[in-house]
Amino acid sequence: MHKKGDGKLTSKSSPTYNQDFTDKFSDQLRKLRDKVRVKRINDKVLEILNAPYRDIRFGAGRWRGKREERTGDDRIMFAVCGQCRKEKHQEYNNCLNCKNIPDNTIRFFETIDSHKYNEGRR
Amino acid sequence: MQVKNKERIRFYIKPDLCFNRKLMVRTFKDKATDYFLTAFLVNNAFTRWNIRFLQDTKLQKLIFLSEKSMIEQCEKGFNFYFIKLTHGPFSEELKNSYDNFSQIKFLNDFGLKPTVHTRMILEDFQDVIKRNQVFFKKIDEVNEQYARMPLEKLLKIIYAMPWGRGTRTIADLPLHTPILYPMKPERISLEFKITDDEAEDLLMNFDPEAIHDLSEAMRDAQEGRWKTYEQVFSDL
Repeated sequence: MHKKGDGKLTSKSSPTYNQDFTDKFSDQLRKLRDKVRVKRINDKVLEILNAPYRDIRFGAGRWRGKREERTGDDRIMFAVCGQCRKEKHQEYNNCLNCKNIPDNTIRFFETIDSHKYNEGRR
Repeated sequence: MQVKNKERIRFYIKPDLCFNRKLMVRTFKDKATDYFLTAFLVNNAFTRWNIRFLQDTKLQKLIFLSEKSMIEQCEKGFNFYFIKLTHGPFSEELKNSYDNFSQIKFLNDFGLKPTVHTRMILEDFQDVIKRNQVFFKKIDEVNEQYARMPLEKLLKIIYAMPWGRGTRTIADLPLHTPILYPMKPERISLEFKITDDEAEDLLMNFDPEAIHDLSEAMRDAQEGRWKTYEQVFSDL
């Protein structure tokens, strides 16, 4: 876990992947009052950054073109730029200046609290 | 699908038993199934049976007839409650569903025409359709017979349908009489198969709040508003 002794979250840069987070992602985390969930999301983000090509699951419908990973009831929606281009998902993700973004970038779009869709099964 | 005059329809309940409705709460899976089947029915009516416009009232009746045909075979597909109102069977839950569909641009406000989002959902959940052919076939049959029928004629057919064990028809019933509701579990012979994950994915796609959040995130991406890991996590 990437937590200091004082309980604060710490960053750990991925050696191979750049990271971007939308303002929305940041706002959503700030609105979360549950420190445990924030920490779980942080840990999952670091896991994704370290190994983005394991456990591949794409979103459906409006979330087409975005990958998703779950931690508890939270879903993290993101895209790996190289994979996005390879799968021709640019039309769904539609990032500004896509061509200038390196393949080894992971863009985190948002988190979704799935609790209200599953009757608390997780 | 045509109901014969003397056919007894077991799924109707007597008004004095309507307290039972409180016991039959739609689960999250039921809601996801209802949304998906509704989306299929509307899309099927427009694309396969070439209607140009779908009135709210006709949508109510097409879903009523589909749910009825499923329940007659003890198949649990649609889970809407229908009561009798001025224009025949009506479901408040269904009305809320398609109001919601319009809000999230899943159906056009005018004429309830499917949008690109409807088609995306149906494409992305092809496995669910393949797994539940029986239910989609029934919807297709109902649309084939009734989707292009003038509303007045359709209403007459529904009013003339028998209700209960006597000789009464739906037209004879007092307003607000419950006329269709989900079966009790012990009566179900075939259930719509959908996984928990699929149900969650569907419910997300029909949730205006989730769609709003996604739109904001997408706007950030399109307008290049990005933050670094440190900016996001450092002071949390």
